[in-house]
Amino acid sequence: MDWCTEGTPSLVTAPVVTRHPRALESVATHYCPGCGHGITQRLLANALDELGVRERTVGVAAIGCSVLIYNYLDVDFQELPHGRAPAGATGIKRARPDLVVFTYQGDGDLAAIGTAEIVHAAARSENITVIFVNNCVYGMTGGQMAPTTLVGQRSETCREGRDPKLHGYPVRVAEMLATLDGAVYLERVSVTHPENVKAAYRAIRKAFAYQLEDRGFSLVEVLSPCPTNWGMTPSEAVRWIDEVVSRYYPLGVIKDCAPVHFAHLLEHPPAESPGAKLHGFHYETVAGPEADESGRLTRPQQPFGRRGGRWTAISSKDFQPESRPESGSQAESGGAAGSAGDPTPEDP
Amino acid sequence: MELWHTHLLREKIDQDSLLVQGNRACALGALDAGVRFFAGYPITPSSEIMETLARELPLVGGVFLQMEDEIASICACIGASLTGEVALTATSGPGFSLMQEALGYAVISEAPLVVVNVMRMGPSTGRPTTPSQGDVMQARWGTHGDHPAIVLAASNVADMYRLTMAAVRFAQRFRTPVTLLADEVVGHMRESFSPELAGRYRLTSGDFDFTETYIHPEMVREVHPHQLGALRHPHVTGLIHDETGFPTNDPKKSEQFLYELHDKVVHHRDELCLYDIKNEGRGRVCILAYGSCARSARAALRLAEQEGLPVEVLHLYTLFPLPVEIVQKVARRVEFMLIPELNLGQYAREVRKMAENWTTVVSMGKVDGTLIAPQEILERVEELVGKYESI
Repeated sequence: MDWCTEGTPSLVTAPVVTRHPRALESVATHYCPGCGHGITQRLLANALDELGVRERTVGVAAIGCSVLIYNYLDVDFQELPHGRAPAGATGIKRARPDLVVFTYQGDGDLAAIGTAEIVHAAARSENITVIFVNNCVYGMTGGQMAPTTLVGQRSETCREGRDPKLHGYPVRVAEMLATLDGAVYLERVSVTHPENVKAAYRAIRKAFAYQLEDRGFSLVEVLSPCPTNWGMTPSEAVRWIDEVVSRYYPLGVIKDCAPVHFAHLLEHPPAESPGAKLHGFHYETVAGPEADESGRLTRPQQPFGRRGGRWTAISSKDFQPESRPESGSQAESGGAAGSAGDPTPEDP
Repeated sequence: MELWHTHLLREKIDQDSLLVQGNRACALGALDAGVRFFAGYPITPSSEIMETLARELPLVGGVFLQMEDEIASICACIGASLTGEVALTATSGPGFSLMQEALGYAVISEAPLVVVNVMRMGPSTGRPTTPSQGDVMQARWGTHGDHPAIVLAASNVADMYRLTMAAVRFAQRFRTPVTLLADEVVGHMRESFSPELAGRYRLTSGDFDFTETYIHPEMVREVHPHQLGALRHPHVTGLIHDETGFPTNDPKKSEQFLYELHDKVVHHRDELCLYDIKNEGRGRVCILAYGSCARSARAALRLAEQEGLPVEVLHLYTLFPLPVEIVQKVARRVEFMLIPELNLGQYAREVRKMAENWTTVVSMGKVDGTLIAPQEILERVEELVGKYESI
């Protein structure tokens, strides 16, 4: 269990974690085989242990498969009505700022019924951490189309694949929230391969570290396989994330910036401040590998979905389950779901 | 009893009484009751509660939050409530509809919470600045599933102050959401007000000791077993759960859980059912009223006394749990029970269930957006008494 042992710079420097996290209950999960929830929750538990905040952490769970986290994490837990977790977390954090508050939500919960709550929690820059598990489908209710379901992806409620004319286009939550000044840290990760799991761990740890530094709203979007509802084997599901899903939802830091303060705008009215015409502030959007402070080992090539700075829709028809490409950057990582705990050779 | 600790009132302590608006009195009552968390969304005709608390709460170290909608407002209040903070939110009909799901969550997770609903005419957007009592049954049955409800109704500015305090006390004592109903007229009218001016509230077991409604700081600090952030690692859920807080599918435990939720409210009717009777035991007709209609009923009583008509007034401050004992006690001795209300007879149906074995329940609903005038009630009383004479 040494997948997070390499030294990392800045605030996320932390000791080696090699034992069962205290924040994780010693029970077998009852998630489906190949599900990403188990890995994500383990990472969450590790991060809470490593930062030493388990005793003052309150988790707010949502409705869906994500709610089952209460079985596995040994922290204070509150579950709220569908989609309302960020609002409840707001109340907890405002009433008790000394607590570490996170929400753990799925994509149906956060991106459909809870859109208003997540957008406004980010806009208010609530000092909370959101773990957003995105598997492009409603899992617990049996595989219906989610707001994040890809164009062309089949589900119980779009049997012939999601048709944009009928169902519109998937929502990129992290990019959407990046336009809000209140959101200070947004990163998309996946839990498919050891390298990605390591990066996911660093992202989650960083998000909590930011909360401890009172920086404001942070969200880590975790692309997670759902083999059961995708109708795939676990390894197919992992490959589908790498080859299709992460092209529409590119991995990496979407936004990482210090809190934006508007005090200077109030002191200098827009008429006197030329910068005010351009909103009077700027934030740094980190996209390239050179700006990656967390030192992650691999990064997918420049997102396929982004061409000339504009988003284009990617169809899942690009995905060919039979013809697995053996060359290229994706193939070299070639692991399978559940390999999170495997020791991984370090690239110097 | 030192209730006048709020910044606003301290400035004016020398005056005998103040001209205070109903919504403002509600906010002051909340502050005096120990409310230190408010999350809300502006809506006519309840916005003044929010505005007052936005000014006052930071002065007493509380948290004020304006949220994106009523759903998030009540959820934030629930979150704060579960950390041990005394939370309150205020809204009107459309916002109250949005809150219903989370209200059920507060019931099942036993989160103490006060929701003030300043009723306006509905359904939907309705007529925002006209009074109504159309949300009475929504306050009882708005959220899905079998659940208990504590619903109070304020009829004047002093009520807004004192019943808000009573609502906070009931919520903390029974760990359940309490709904305080007012209507647009009660919320917006200005009356001279001081705590001493308020009328008395009676319980079947005696008078309601108003001085006890003040939430003592120690009472708030008391750590509840499922309080968050108290090193107890509770799990709070909207699922049916057992005593550990974790979900259960056991039929026996589920049944026991639901009965316990109900019993803690229904078995304490003697502590909860606030009422007042005027002209007790001297009426053939009892005017049963609540909210702003109770003001008209009291005025009608004075007119009836001048005419020598045998009328008494039962003024209910607690609508739910149903004040069965007192309603049936009065029903046994009167021929008619007249219920004026600003809806199509919602509470009259409840009274009929309780009292129709002993008396004739007459509903007097009005939904044109105006108040029921004392004269209208008097005419109806004369009609009923005349009917009685002719029989």
